[in-house]
Amino acid sequence: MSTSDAAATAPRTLRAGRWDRLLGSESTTGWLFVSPAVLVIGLFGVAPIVWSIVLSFQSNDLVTPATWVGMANYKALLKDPMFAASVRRTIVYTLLFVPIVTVAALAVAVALNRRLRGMRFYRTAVFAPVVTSTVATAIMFNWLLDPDFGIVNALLVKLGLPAQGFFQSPSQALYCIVVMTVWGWLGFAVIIYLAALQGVPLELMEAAAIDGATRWRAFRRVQLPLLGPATLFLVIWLSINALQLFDEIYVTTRGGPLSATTVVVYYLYQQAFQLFEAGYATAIAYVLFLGILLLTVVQLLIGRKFVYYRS
Amino acid sequence: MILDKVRKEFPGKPPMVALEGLDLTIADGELLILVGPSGCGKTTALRCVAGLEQPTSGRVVIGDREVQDLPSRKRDVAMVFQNYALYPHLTVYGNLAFGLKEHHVPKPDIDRRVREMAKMLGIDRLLDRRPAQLSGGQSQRVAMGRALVREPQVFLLDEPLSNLDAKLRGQMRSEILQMQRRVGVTSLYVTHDQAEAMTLGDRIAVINGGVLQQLGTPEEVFRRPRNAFVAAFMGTPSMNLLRGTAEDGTVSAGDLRVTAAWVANGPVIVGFRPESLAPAEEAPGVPRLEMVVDVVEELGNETLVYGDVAGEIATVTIDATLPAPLEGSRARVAARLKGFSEVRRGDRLQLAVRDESMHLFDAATGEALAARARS
Amino acid sequence: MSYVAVERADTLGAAGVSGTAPLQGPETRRRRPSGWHLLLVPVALLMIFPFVWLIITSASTLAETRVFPPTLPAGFPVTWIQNLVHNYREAWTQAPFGRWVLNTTIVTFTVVIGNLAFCSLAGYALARLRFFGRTALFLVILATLMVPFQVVMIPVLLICKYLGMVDTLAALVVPNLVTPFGIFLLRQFFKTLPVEIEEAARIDGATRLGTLVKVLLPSMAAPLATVGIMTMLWSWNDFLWPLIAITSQDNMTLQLGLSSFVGSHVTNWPVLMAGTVMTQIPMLLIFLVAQRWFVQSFASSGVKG
Repeated sequence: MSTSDAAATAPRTLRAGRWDRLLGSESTTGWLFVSPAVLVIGLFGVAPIVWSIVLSFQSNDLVTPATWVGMANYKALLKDPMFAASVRRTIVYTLLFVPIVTVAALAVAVALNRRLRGMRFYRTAVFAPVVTSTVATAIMFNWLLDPDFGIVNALLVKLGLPAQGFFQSPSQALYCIVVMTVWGWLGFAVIIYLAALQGVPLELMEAAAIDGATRWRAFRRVQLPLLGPATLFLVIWLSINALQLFDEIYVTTRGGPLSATTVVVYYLYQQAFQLFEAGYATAIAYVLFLGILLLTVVQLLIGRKFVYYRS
Repeated sequence: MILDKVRKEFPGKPPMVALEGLDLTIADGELLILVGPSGCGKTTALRCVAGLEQPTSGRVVIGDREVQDLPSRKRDVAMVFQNYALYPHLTVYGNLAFGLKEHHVPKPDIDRRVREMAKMLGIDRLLDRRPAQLSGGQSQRVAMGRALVREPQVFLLDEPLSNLDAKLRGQMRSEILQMQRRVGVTSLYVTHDQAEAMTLGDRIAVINGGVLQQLGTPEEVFRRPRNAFVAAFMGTPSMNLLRGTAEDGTVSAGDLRVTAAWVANGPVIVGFRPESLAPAEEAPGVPRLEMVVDVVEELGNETLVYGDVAGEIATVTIDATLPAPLEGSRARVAARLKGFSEVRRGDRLQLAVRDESMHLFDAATGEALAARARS
Repeated sequence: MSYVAVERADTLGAAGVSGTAPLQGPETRRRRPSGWHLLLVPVALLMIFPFVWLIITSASTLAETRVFPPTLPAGFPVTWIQNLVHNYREAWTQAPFGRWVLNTTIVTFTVVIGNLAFCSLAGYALARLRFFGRTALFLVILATLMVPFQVVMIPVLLICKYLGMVDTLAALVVPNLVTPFGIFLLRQFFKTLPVEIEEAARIDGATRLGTLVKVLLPSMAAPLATVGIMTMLWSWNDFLWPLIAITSQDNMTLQLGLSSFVGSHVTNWPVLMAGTVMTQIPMLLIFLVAQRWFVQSFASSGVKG
């Protein structure tokens, strides 16, 4: 069929659709579809990131005109003993919180991943704290651990042990925060592990059983390695949240007693909204961001070495 | 419907050309088959008609409208997809009614048309089911119904039978043909299966490398292939193609000697279909060759024999449907013999080539030198 | 060998009988109580006890909480219920809990609807539509997903101030109407869908928006639930941002209001506990009703996020 034939048989075609081509084009539709997202994320996500870089180079109390101070905020940070102490506390907290949640969640998840009487109750009990707000959690634990009238001290006394100061003791407050946040996060971690355990094919455990492995060895050699990706995700996710700890501290101790629970974000909050050092606070935020980024990259690198992915 | 110099490039470095100026004219009510190996551009052509791809240049005309700039929904085309693409959350009724609703057909009309179509396809008992509850053949019917109930100007089918098992495929093939005749809608049907193309189409368009190789009735395409590609692609097993030389009106390829006075001196390709080979004793006095038998496939009413003959194979690039050339001066050839055959592996078989189905092609361009060579 | 075969048959039978629990283990039903109870009972008690003590305290009199060691509230059930009612009424009148519930509901509802709508649109466009700058845009969105809130909170506050939104509910709604998390999650999901269904819809006469709304979203309950539940929880329980964006009591959310309630009632534990219970009941109820969806949402956001 030649071209001239084709043209000849369609003598009066209606030329349609210049507008359709423009309005209906994927480019126009695409931008229309993303425009709400671009607007909101641009205004409240991207612009603030840039702005806060500028802020961190300023001395700015958000009221009087700002002055450019260059790297002064960052230099001051390096020499600020209060900041160093807050970093130390954050690291201690993270090093306790992340492993405890991960290991405890693994044990509970393995226990929950079977058919037992009362499983619904167990699961609901473990998951319920996940939807409880950090503020409510903090209020509950404040009362449980009240040195004078709290139930925990009452139990300790009954067991013949001395009553403790808990949140009011500078040497104990941070550990109480650990206990409280472990309670709040355990359910989330259990859910992640349970989902991962569901993904381990039954045949694999059976194959291990046929090969003569004991239950423990089958778990250790077959199931555990397959939980690697979930563990890596959990450790990274828990670490990111641990480094950003704030709510529970604000409600229970307000950084006290004697600054014993002033972690990085609480220190940042004080600088920004109590001392009105917005520039300095933003510099802290950027250092925190850097720390989170660094830790995540390191964890990913270590993970790549040890975690086995089934593709 | 007309495709006029439709060219489609996909971005890349260098850009990948899927269609190189395709020209096709399809008459009203005709069923045209686009056939070719995978990746030849036939599906791209279909998608350009559907509006799922925008041609880089060229025109697509449906009825008296140029539609290449229109979005799919304004083209008045309907399509059956290879994997059916039924809406999973809608019932069969909902699937059939969806397009009519989108085109603002009044409710009573929708109901009437959906029920009529369902009855015609024999799926009226399935109207309340969801796609997940349908078998392959049922899904296929629903997909057809969803397209035809719209009463589109053009009906597009993209390998609609390739997900069905062989038995069902044969049955659905005839059902599609019946439906198409009954509705009388202009149809474009894409397949890679040349047997499907032969049995279904009013006309067949063979495409390779984005270029139209031949357009014609099934018989024309099969009996008078315009080039070596079409010859090799249509028919299973493929046409045997041997390298040969023409000298003073005689073409020779291995043992084979064919008289063809009009062929200029030089290299040529000699082609003959497996079914035009017969034991030499049955056809005395025609060109013959000797085959060393390698594989024998008994099919009951016929026997496929594969073996090698003197000569050099001419390779035409289509996806591995041709046997690989043998080493040295031997070529692999297939023969289709009637009834049971006594041949065994290792036999030396004398074969005659029925002269009426001898094809000669230009060795350089692959173009047919004549429809048939006279011996 | 035979042991394994028997156990497997048992497993299949058990799976056939009860298929209701969302996450089911491969283990078999035992004849005698399992040793796992020894681990699960104390864990479950530890997880539940804070809630139990919370409710017990909210049914106590002030005097009962001022003794050591603590005692259970006396006079079950009549006095108990009287105390309970009294404490909840106290909490309700001493602070505008009703107002806070309303505020939080408005904020959460709007944020969830906004995320479902806008993240679907953006996620679909980023997964399917070819438009100029798509890759760059996606990378920028991914980048904002990684930046902690503390980095941006001061500029966000300043921008809200500039737009006159500080100390209004708008400050809690507008910046959270679209979340990078939701866009990312839905984009990944759209990528897994077969494209032919959309093409069929377009040929059938649907616009892009029509295809999204009528064909894709109706079969996306799971990912939409994940986005909805995650943004709902996040919005309902958020604390730091309301703390800095809201100053007047009337515009507070439940969590912020509760924390301000602590300051003035730190010695009146029964009333404070009653207030705490009230703030947690809505979300806990939703959780108990839709536990399966919550668990599935956490699991899938974890796997992909």
